[in-house]
Amino acid sequence: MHLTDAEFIEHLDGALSPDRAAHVASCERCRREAEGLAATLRDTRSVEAPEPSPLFWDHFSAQVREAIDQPAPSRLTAFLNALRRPGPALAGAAIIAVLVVIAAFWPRDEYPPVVSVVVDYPAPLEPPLATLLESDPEWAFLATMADGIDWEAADAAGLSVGPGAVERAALQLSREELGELARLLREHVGGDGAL
Amino acid sequence: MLSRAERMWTARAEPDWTVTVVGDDRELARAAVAGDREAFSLLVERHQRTVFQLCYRFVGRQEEARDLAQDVFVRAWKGLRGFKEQSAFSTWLYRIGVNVCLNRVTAKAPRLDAMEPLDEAACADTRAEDPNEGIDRGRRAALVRIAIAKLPPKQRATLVLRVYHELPHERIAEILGSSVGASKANFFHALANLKKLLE
Repeated sequence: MHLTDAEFIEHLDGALSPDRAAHVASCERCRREAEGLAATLRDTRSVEAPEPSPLFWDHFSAQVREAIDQPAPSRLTAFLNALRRPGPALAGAAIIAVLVVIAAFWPRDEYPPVVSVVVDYPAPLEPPLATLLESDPEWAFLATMADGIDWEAADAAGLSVGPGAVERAALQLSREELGELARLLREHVGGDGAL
Repeated sequence: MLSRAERMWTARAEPDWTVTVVGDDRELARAAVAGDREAFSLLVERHQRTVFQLCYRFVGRQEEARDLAQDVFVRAWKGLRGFKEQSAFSTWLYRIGVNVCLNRVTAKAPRLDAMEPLDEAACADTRAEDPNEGIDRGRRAALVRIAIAKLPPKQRATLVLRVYHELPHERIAEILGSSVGASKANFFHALANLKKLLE
């Protein structure tokens, strides 16, 4: 019987039992596989990592001490910090802000209170309203858009939105900034310009 | 020679503790849980290189590795009460480190183009070597790093812990919350995938 995955690793570690090692010596297929793995392991081992200077470590320790001495930032501070950061956090915040703006200006003849209620009270909804939301096309649109957001990544990036923070941020945007956010949104969701 | 944190710690500890306390991560962790930041600083000094190297193997950039390593220690500080001493402190720290790194690399596409230029050729003794061989070796190392970045998270973590940190499979299994057999299987598949990617 040919070597199992685990036995190939034991072979690389020199820990394969003598009878199985004898099999490798006599089996062309297992021998070739073992040699290939050994060569890959050698290649992998040869890749060095940099060794920072002693000064780097002094700074590092000091920065860790500083970090653990700092009080935890408030949710609002974390949100504002995330807005200041480029990259995923900003993109995530931009998408959320645009969603709120779209929701605020979206024409709604049938269900006028839906979006504003959702924005003001993101906490648990009363059953009648939840039922209403399920059949609301605007809510479905928002839910679809929000589906594309990687919340874990946003959270890992420090993005934390306090109640009302997004609305306040969106209301402070100029017309040009709103236009730019809309463009970003189209770019991120691959929209067709129908926003 | 004692480090700054060690000096401060030993100055605070009873004289007859010094030898045992300074050598014991768990004792320091207990002191840190009680709010002793110098004890935690000593733990940081002891493990910072290992944690930094771990992070570097995942992200390939010193600056990003430093930020991640700091994040690991901040999380460790905040979660110290969760360290129940069922494993070594370093194993617990590795677990945090691997989680932080995997979260980072799975949250965004690997920045292969942004990886720092390789300095293997500069690190190695190349005095008796044909310059072309040095370039080839550097190029090969770059290919290996790119291939490692393409591995699935668990395979990548297993490979990094086994090859670059030389941990036994028993410890890798403990860190990754899997079995020894799964660790060996992950390592096998990591090498097999690398082999294919490098062909």
